[in-house]
Amino acid sequence: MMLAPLLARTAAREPAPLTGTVGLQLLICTTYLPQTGALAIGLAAMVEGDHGRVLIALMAVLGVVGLRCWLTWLQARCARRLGTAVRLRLRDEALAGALVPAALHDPARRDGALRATLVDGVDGTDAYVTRYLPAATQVVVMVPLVASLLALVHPLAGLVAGTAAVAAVVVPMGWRRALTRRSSVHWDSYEAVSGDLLESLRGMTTLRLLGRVPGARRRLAERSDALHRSTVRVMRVSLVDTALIDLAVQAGALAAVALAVADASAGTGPALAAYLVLLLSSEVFRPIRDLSRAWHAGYLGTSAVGALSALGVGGSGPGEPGVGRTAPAGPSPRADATGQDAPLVVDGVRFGYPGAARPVLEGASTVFPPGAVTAVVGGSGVGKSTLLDLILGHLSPDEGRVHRGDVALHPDDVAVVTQRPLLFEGTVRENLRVGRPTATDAELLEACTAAGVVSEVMSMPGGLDARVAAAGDTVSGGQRQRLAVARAIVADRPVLLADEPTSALDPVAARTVTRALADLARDRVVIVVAHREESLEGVGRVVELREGRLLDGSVAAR
Amino acid sequence: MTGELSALVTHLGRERRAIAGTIVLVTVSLVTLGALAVLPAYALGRAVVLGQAPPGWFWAALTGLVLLRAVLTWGEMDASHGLAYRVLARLRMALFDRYAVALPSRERENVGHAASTAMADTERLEFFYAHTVAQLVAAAVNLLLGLCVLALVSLPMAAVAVAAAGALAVTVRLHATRTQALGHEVADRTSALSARVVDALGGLREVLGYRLQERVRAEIRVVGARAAEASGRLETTARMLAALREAVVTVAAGAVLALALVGDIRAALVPAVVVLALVTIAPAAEAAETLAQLHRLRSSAGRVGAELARPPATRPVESPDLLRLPEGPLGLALQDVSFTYATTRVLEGFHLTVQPGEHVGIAGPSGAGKSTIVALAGRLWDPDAGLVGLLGADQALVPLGSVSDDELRRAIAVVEQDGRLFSGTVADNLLGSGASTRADLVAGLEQLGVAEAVGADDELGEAGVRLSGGQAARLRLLRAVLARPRVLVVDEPTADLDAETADRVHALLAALPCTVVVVSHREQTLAGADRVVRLGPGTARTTPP
Repeated sequence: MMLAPLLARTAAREPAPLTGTVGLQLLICTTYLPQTGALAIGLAAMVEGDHGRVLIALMAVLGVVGLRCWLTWLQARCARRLGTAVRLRLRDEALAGALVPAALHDPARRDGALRATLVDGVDGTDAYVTRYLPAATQVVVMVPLVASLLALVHPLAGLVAGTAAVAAVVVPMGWRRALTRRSSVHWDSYEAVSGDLLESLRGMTTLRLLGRVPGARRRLAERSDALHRSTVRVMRVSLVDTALIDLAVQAGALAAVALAVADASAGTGPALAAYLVLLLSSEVFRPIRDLSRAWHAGYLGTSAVGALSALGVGGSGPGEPGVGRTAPAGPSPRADATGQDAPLVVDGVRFGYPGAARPVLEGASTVFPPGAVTAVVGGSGVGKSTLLDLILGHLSPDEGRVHRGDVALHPDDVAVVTQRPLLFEGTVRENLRVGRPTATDAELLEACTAAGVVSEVMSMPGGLDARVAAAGDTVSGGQRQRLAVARAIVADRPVLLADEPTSALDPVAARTVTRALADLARDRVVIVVAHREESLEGVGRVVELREGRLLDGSVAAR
Repeated sequence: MTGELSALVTHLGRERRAIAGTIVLVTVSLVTLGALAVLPAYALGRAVVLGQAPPGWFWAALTGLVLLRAVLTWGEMDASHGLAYRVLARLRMALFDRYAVALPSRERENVGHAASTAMADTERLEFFYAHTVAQLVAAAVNLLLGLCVLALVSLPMAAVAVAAAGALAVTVRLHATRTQALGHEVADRTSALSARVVDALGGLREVLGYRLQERVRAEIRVVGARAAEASGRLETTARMLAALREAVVTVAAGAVLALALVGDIRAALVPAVVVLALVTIAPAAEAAETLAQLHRLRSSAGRVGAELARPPATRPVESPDLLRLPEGPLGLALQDVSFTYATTRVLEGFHLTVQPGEHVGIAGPSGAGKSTIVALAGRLWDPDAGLVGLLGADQALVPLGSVSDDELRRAIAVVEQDGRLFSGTVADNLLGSGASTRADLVAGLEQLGVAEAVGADDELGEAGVRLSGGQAARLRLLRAVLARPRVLVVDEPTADLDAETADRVHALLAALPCTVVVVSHREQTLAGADRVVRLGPGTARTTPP
């Protein structure tokens, strides 16, 4: 039997549909008992030539069949509710574990692997909870019950069939660990293929331009072969189970019938008892056959359990100390004392990536006041993006703190324009509103005007209703950057961080964006990370990041 | 089954022998199972009615059958799954090969859909390849065999079994349309869910920056609920149909028993006959179930088929028409080129000639078509009109579309603005072309000032997560330079760099012996070029120099 405590616990959090699904399954299985009885009575009546009783028995069988159809319908409805609830809960918890700041700096993370877990893996758990769990319960309850009934009719036959049934369930448990191990290898290779594939699809432009398609193909083919091998290995183990179960089922039933034949030919025992043994000995194994069938449906879900737990589902999260504090999501009360115009303070911040030889920031301190744009400069790779992630709260400092007016910075205080801004699949309007869903169209267009992208938005088919594909690939790099600036303006937050907001822009567009940022800076903190001198246009103050410290510079000096 | 499903059969091509073997295994296994049910019932009937016990060899034979059946069960499942997963592995690679010529499409779509097709839809087809052909044949053989034996005993009983098989066939048609529609719904909604998830994961920094986790989760919950609801309805339908089929089987067994009342069947034979009817019809019910399942696969089959039929992004080159590139330095020429994305015309009658060995800069406002020129030079797409080609020293133009892809990629390297680095080490990423040595790589990292940040054996992570934008940009440039192309086209190589680092890039580009085309809006970067082509706003129209 394949046990997945995580899935069982998750199912248990939906008590009503779970009880319904399992309970009705037991009832459905129970209906086979009166059916068997009626059939045996019918057969025995044939021997005695009592036609009336045969007909009554047949009517009873029909009645039971109808009842079972109705119960099946009820059960299917319960199972639907249960499966949906479990899928949604698991996916939601796994997503919560996947959308964490720690992932931003994790080189082992692969989006395609996560996609496989979050979509295919979670969907696979449905069959486990709606089919495998009820089937397993059915084995535990019904096998002893039917074997006992059989024992009442024919003690020895009951014993033989019961023993065979127990063996069919227990013996495969001997290599359950091997199966679990192989099935986790299988899931790993499924994830690896999914990861490689998504990476190749996303990077197909690069692969083609550099003639790297054959290399990527070779790698994927190796992974795909490994997936094939590991799938077949899991199957082989489980198929041995299937064969053994089949052996126990057939041998047990045959032995029970042989006993009945021996009794009957010796003239002991009535015909009814003999036919009951024939039919009941098959019924003992029905739950086991059902379970064996449900295995195939449930195994994709159980093999994803490891990946789901790694995302923190059903337990403590994948907490990595130092990287990524989990700030409470959603709006939370801001300190009233912190006005729109409080300066942003970086106070003695020290930060190093886990495993890195030396910290990126060491004793970095400065004040970012509102009034004018502050630029953070420094060579490539000195840690400017790390500083932004610290201010945003995606990383938390090993020492020191970041605050506004002595209150820790809340994520809702900050609007951001990243180096490679990403637009989501949806309309331009939806993309602009992410920071403030209540913004009106007029406000959106005003922000677009300030960012210098309004004429392009209006010329798109549908204007604000124009659809943007994932990763914003349907708009040019420059448009994407200005839409991101517009989005940050719409968000209207007391702190605006922009990482090279003009890198993809021609000089005219760059000046428009620079002016817009300078305007915004009059009543809020605006920090621009600048790699290039052009970006320093309109900047009031320059802070240089060098050797882990923030040094005051000035525009005039540059 | 027609259409989508018959297309799946073509992928079975190489597996004829395996299929034949599986069919034999499944058929023998099924008939053995039937014998194992009928023979004990026969023995029991004789024992109860006549008081006769079967001889010892009878039980020995049955024991042999039990063992045979166990071995066959294993063998049949092993054979059919082995076959199915071999075909799936081939299908995945066939899909990849198609994507490799068809992506990126001009519409630049969400690749989450494609990922969902290649993984989830393909996996769903396992059922088709593992559990249909052999099982259907075996059920048919079993049905015929059972009917023959039944007919020997009693023709009316055989007629009942035929009627039951007919009723089962009706259940296959029953709800076929609904099952098929639901199958489509499940696949579409799962694909939408997949795209949404890929989107959220890809935009993690924005998601975190704007605290969108709750919203993303809520959205995915809605999309996921739609997918779950559709598959729940599909499952309910399937369970009801299964219950219906089981009712048909039971009623048929009852009818056989009733016939035994009126017919002249010996009482000793009745149990065996009833069981025989059961084992004749029950596998037919499973076959009906299999056929019904196929309806829900149609959608996945259709999607896989559609993806395999995607039009290539560029016209394929026919081998007899292939041209060889001339030896020596190469230039680049765009002649009278027009290009349109879905709705926007970007280039019209555009001319550009870059002489072999020349270094040319291209400047122009955002949206002027600079990146399109880069894409066309790298033959991501063919132009709608006009010609893009490589120019020999003798001014002979070889169109990109008449050179083999392999030769083309060795001759020209293109660095797009948003190119990607892949998971693996720096050396894996940068030395894949085999044109340069590890020493070249180390020297290149030094020259561009990234050697302190990353070494040749450092893991980059997917899309180079550990790198800053400027570091990634330099690695991507170096990757193209290390391939030692004869023409290098670079889009905005210094956009993310400070002045000092940009100068390193300028020095590297200036020292390259090959033809170089640099797109940039940075004057210092353009300053290193022999001449600069400036595009006007909107549609690029220039005249030959």
